[in-house]
Amino acid sequence: MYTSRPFLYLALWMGPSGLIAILAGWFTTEIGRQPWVVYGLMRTADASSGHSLAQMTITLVLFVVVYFALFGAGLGYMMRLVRKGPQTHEGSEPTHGGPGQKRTPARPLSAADDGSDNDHDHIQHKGN
Amino acid sequence: MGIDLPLIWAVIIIFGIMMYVVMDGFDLGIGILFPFIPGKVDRDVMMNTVAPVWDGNETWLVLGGAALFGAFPLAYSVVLSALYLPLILMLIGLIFRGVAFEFRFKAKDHKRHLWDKAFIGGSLAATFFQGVALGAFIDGIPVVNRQFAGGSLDWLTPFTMFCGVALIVAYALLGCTWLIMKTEGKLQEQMHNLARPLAFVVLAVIGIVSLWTPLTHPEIASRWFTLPNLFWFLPVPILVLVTMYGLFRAVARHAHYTPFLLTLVLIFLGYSGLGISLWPNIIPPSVSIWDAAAPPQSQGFMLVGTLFIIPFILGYTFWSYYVFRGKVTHEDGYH
Repeated sequence: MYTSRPFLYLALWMGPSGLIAILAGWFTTEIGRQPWVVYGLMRTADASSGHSLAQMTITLVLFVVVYFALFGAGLGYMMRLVRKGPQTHEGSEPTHGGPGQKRTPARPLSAADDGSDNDHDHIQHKGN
Repeated sequence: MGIDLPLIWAVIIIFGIMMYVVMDGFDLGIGILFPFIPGKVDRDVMMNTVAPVWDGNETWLVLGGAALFGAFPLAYSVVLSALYLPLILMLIGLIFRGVAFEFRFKAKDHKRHLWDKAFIGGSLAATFFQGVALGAFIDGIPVVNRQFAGGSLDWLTPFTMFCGVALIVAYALLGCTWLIMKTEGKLQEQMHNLARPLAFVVLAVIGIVSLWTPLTHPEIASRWFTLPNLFWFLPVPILVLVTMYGLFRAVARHAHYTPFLLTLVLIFLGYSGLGISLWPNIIPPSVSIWDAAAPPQSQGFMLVGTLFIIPFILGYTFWSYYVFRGKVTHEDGYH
């Protein structure tokens, strides 16, 4: 199974499948309930604010640009992890945890040890 | 006479927004102070003082927004429509700085400056536009037929711009005194040196906003300056001066905790001054909390869940600050 090419390709494509499933589900509910925003009670057209087309266009474009930039950076980071491949941790004992220790992460991504952090720099420590 | 639900909801929202201002205030302040501290190591320490708590701080912004939506839908639709652009720009600032927290620590050396800039720019933008939104809110929002009846750039006035700058200075002082509390050595020394000029500027902007607001809003002037109101409200400016004096004293004797606590008092006083000026309007100048309230069934239903959840939020917030108490130093990392 570890060398079967079709299986490995299938596993590869499972990567984006979660995202596709979420988007498909979201599209189905949001498009499926139109033209209602509150089903059977209020039309989407009646619920919208009176903003100008220009205002909506500018802010939408702004969001798209910002999200492309930031998701692009995130994607680049994920690619960096993928290129590096899985790391073995043989011989390195996990710490016991506790406040300020490595196993009490200070940020969401600090829980994922990818070896690219400068380990000494970001670890939150209890004082004294 | 039953329970005054709109009043309870107003208190919850006012409390939530105040929690947001004092808590996200100091961590936005860290970003505002970044340009003064160029070294990577010091910047790491600065960021690490807030890294475990900053996103929890923004819980209160979400709570305030959701409570406004549920309890005062009229205010939600009108105020958020009127402040659409500044609030969107605030959000974009928050997005950049939120992402910078994660990516800055992951970035290679030659790219880190980008995330430093995202953190600085995001913090400045978020703070500035919060101040702008606040200024525009004080200035009042025209309502016709329960809908926003102004233009999309109504918020763009000299007063609101000044409020934006004023909030940047206030958050910088919060961040500065927070760092005095959470760091030691050279960084703390730099913050002690910065606190005094910052406090002077904060005193100045408080003074200017306190004069500018009543001068342009007769109804706010009469709220403050008619008798006997004047005697009731006089403690607020007097306490501001006393607190300021205490702050200068505390910074001069190199206290660790007192400057931050006194800055919190200062923010609270400024906030209560705002409350005195606007109460009981939820859409200044004329829509009160009772005019804008949702039906009592909605408000009562939501109140049950909210009163259940708020102790939990307070509990875990307290717990996370307790876990990450004490000084943050760079040397601590080398264990």
